[in-house]
Amino acid sequence: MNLLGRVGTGILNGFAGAGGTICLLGKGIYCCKAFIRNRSKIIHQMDVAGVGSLPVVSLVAIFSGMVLSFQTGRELARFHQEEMVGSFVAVPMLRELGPVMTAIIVAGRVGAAMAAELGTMKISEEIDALETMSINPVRFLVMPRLVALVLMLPVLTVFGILTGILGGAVIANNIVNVDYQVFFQNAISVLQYKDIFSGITKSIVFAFLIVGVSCYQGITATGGAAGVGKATIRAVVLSFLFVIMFNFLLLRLFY
Amino acid sequence: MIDIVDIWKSFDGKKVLSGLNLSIKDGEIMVIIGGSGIGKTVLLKHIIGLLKPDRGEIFINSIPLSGVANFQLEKIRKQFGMVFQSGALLNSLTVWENIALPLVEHTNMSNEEIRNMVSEKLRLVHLHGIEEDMPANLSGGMKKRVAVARAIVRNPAIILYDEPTSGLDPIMAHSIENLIVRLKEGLRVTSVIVTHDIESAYRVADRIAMLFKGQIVEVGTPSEIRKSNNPVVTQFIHGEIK
Repeated sequence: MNLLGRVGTGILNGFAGAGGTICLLGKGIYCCKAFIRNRSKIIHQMDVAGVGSLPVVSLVAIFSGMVLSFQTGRELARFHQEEMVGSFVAVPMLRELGPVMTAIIVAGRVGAAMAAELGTMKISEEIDALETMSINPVRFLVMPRLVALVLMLPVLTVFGILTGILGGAVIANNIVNVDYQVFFQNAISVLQYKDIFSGITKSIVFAFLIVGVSCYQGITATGGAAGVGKATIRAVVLSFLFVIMFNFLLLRLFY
Repeated sequence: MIDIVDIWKSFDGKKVLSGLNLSIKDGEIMVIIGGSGIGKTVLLKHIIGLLKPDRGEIFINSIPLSGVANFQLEKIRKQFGMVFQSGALLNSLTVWENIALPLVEHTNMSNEEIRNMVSEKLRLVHLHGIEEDMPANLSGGMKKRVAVARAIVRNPAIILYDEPTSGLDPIMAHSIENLIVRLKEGLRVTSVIVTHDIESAYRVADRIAMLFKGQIVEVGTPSEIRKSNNPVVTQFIHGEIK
């Protein structure tokens, strides 16, 4: 196939994948009517996706907050405005860093696991087995993951934001010489309800993206173990890309 | 009754089924034989609606599979049990949970009733004491027997078997063959078995169908197949290489 043919095939495959992902998400949302019946699976997924991601989200957030506080504090100190460091940590953490960083960590950890697990199930005919038992694979496999991440990603995001700001406060106090009280007063003074709302909304949108992309790539995996590996890579890379792209789109929506 | 009418199926331009026709009567054991990679599993997946033919139709008790909505297909599938070649057990569930899954999802049976049913089916396949084991810890033969137990747990009217005795020792293989025959005699279960093991086919089949180049080239009782003059059939059953 020549270059033009390959480009054309790639574009068509991209549209097919996007359409398939949207259809899968639609079916997953429709299957949410079986939420009560599948509560034990949802709780299990909340534990895997949410509780399991807490340590890494906290660590990344703390160090991100510390770096942000150090770098902005040093620059602000040149203009003798270091007491403003609280707002320069809290605003980016709440509006951008917290939701995006948390989503990327979860996409790499949880999204990859979803794609790998569902891909393995696909190639070993476990998904076919569910269909032969008249069990809807979307209800059984995708919906619990979707509900779990839509509930847990905002929680993880809030946790990440708070630990990031806390990390920033520690650096501000110990290196930039800004008192904790000044730091937090300054941080709170610039925050708006819109910031909190946009952060939570972004995390919910990111949850849909991560589950949709990862589950679709897993369920459509072919070609044995190598195919599952490729599907997992695609799931993670596409999740990252869509999180970054949608972050910009949502930014324009809110600000 | 299962009627397969003129079905065609290709994958990436390669024809697998080419105008295949076959009728399977209620309560009979139909064994489909053919070489490896000839399309036997593809045919089996068409019967239960996991694959759709490019052309042609499959009727289950006179209902065409192509015209049904998803919820109707789910209803039709409740008449079926299927044993996959590799077992296809859900690796995240225990043996007990795997076998109980159709009952948990589709019935209002109590835990006690489900437990009794699962134990009964495990006894039929000569497995006990492994209810809490994970599939990853089972041998291939044990996985196959658990898969048989799962397929029969709802006492379905039609059971599809994809190489049910492959990977089993001769004693266990005979035990599964006896179970298939007992299900037919006791419960009038229709069984469609796909295998390349001709000796196993002779032992259990009411009729044997030979699949070759996408079509059924011969159908008959085991004795008719033994006496067949069709060169494709004789080559297969005698294992001759040309």
